[in-house]
Amino acid sequence: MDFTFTEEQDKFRQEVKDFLAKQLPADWLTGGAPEEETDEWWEFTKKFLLAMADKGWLSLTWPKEYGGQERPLWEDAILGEELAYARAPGMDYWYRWKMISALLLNFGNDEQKRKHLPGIASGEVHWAQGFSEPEAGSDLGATKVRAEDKGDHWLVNGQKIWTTGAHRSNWCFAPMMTDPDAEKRSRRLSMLLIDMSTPGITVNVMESMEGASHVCETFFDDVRVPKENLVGERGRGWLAAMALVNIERSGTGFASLPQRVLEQLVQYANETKCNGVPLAQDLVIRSKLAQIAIEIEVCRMLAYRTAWVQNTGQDVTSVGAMIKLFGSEMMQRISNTGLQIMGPYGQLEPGSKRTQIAGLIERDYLWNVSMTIAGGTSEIQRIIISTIGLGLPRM
Amino acid sequence: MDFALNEEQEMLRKMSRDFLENECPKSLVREMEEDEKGYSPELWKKMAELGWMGLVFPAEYGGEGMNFLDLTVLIEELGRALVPAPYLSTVVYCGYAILAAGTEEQKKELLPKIAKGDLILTLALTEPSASWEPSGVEVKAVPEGDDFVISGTKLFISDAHIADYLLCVTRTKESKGEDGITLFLVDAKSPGISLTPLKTIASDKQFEVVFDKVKVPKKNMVGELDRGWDVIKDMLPKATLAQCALMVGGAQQVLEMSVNYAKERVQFGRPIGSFQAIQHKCADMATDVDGCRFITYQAAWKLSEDLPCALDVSMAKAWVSEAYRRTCVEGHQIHGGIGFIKDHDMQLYYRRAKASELIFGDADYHRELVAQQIGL
Ligand SMILES: Cc1cc2nc3c(=O)[nH]c(=O)nc-3n(C[C@H](O)[C@H](O)[C@H](O)COP(=O)(O)OP(=O)(O)OC[C@H]3O[C@@H](n4cnc5c(N)ncnc54)[C@H](O)[C@@H]3O)c2cc1C
Repeated sequence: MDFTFTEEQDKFRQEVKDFLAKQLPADWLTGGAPEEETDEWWEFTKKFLLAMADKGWLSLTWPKEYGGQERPLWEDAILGEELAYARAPGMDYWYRWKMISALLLNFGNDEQKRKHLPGIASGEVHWAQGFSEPEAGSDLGATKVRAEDKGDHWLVNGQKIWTTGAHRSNWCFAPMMTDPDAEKRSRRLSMLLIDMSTPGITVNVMESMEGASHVCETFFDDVRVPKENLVGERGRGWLAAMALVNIERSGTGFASLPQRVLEQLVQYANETKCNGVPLAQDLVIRSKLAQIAIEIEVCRMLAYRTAWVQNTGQDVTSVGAMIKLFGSEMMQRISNTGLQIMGPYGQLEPGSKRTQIAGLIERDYLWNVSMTIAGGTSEIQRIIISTIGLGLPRM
Repeated sequence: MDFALNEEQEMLRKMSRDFLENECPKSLVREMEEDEKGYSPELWKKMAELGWMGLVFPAEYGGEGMNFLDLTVLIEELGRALVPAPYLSTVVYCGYAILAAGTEEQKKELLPKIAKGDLILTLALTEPSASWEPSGVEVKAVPEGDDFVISGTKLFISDAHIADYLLCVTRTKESKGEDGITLFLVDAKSPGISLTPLKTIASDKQFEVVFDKVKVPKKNMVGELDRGWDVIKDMLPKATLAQCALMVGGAQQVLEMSVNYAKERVQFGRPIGSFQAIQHKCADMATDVDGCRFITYQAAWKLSEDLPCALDVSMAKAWVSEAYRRTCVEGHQIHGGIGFIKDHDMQLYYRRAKASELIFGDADYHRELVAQQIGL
């Protein structure tokens, strides 16, 4: 056992920290960040992603032959940790980056790799993840959007939903129904790459509870997709999709963003007086903040364990589900506790007069509702842990 | 980062698990709950022959020269098998204290005997105030010629009835703080010591120990006069983590027992493990058990590596105390009525989980220690 990072890894972490300090304004976490998903935010995010690309960090772990840095997976875990800790912009774009690059590297043919990887590595081409549909959420196998084999192209019709960032994306990767007659449900789907500027695609942005609108409905109306845009084998789209959700779930950011929240709450409790006494002297508040610190440490262990399992080349399905489950539910508990500690100040939004900690925790409290849903619900994670991890019989 | 045990540790784990499956069946665990001694001298001897008593002592004192992380692996297995033996008292609480602070003579005299399984020791720290802090130490030791004379009451003292020596934590100077605390190895047969057994939730052997002008020779002092708390301070993280490791082992076993039962038990024509309500409990238990394991092993690893670990230890004890209890509660629910029956193993774990939770500070106690260390 060893619970430290190597000197080289520490150096890399420092490099990321230095980069973030340079790229993000000093008041980034105290009100200086642009309102999320505004045009101003997107311009900043794009610039930020270009700077990441400049560092080679959008292709950090790829093989050299595809323009990658061939760095160990641990550095990717460290990068993810530091980005989340800094609340760097475009984190969810970054997750999709990881998914699309894994899709291409593991399932794509040479031509697809040559065509798409450079744009991903350079931070110029943005991808959306088109998995969910109105009738196929948890039940991804129920995917209905139809891609009909028309000889020289696929003809796509139907609707996807929750396509985060589709309105800003150039491309989309999506499982679609190519073989409705296949006996096994999972063999009916194939993974397609879709140019979002193809005629027949309409994107509708939905407003979410916390106000930043970026989840979309994506409609396909007789959209012609070139035959060569099939990734991997026809009828194997389910398999590819499952490999990608494992990546989506196995992030190290689950512990590091809350770590920052904890630090801000500790500072708040030390600096804020109620009836002349610092909140930090209140025994209940001390206990609650300590509990947060402890849960974050457990979360960090589960996150590092997942990264370690990934590094050793073992299957991450169950341990990835575990960190996703624990991390997302913990984040909800933490933002809830945070607002309680702040009392009536907790309800103040970013940008409000007298807002505390820049309203970040109020924003988290709303946003975190989606954490136990997006990327697979908590119920689905528990099913994965108990059936795949523990071998309990399926229903 | 490396979450795997090394080869030696894997061997120790496998060897100890195999050994305990044969030598420490649950029938023995049950028998020892009723037994007056509460442990099997025969099993104790065999454990010593395997080198377990001297696992962490250097070879020159008859030990195996292994480290605290290795010990953690072994203690996890003791917790899994619910081994009824004065192991933590002898090896962790007292063995480590003597190793760290004993004179060369004490070490040469005592450690090889411990390693051979010929000596049982226990720590007499807590008093009726049930405090783990130096302020809780009020039992007095007063110098008198070549001796000190100890008077007062110690409470919750494990294995006092079978111990050859009690490592007694005493006040040698008027003070409430760390200063003025001194440790003595008191021969358990000294006149003036009286034991009253306590009846405990885990059916383990704990005692009220009254010292009535008990004489102990000066040479039995462990560590320096008035500086005894330094020794305790060094030992407490190990004792606390040892409890965590016991709990990890217990929790792992409860999880496995419950998952196996969920696969076998049929109701409504199918295994109960196919019901989501049961699956979700199992998933939560598995998550808790893994969390317990890694937060404990991280702290144990740091301790082994001589890195600062006070925060890690408190985090581990706070988390594991509650997570193990949760795991047992879920385990009982999965087992339905049968787990409530004394013949079933579930109740053995449930009762011990509470005992481990309460010793060396519960979650609330350790959360306050965490609060102090995260800048509050
Ligand atoms: C903010 C946000 C961003 C998202 N971004 C994307 C994206 O970029 N791309 C994309 O493809 N998708 C995205 N999603 C979609 C997300 O993956 C789905 O919302 C999720 O998989 C759940 O599907 P659903 O919403 O249809 O809920 P449903 O599947 O209808 O679930 C409703 C409830 O039923 C429960 N349930 C369902 N099946 C079972 C079962 N078998 N056993 C027990 N309980 C069950 C669920 O756990 C949940 O509690 C996003 C979602 C959100 C909220």
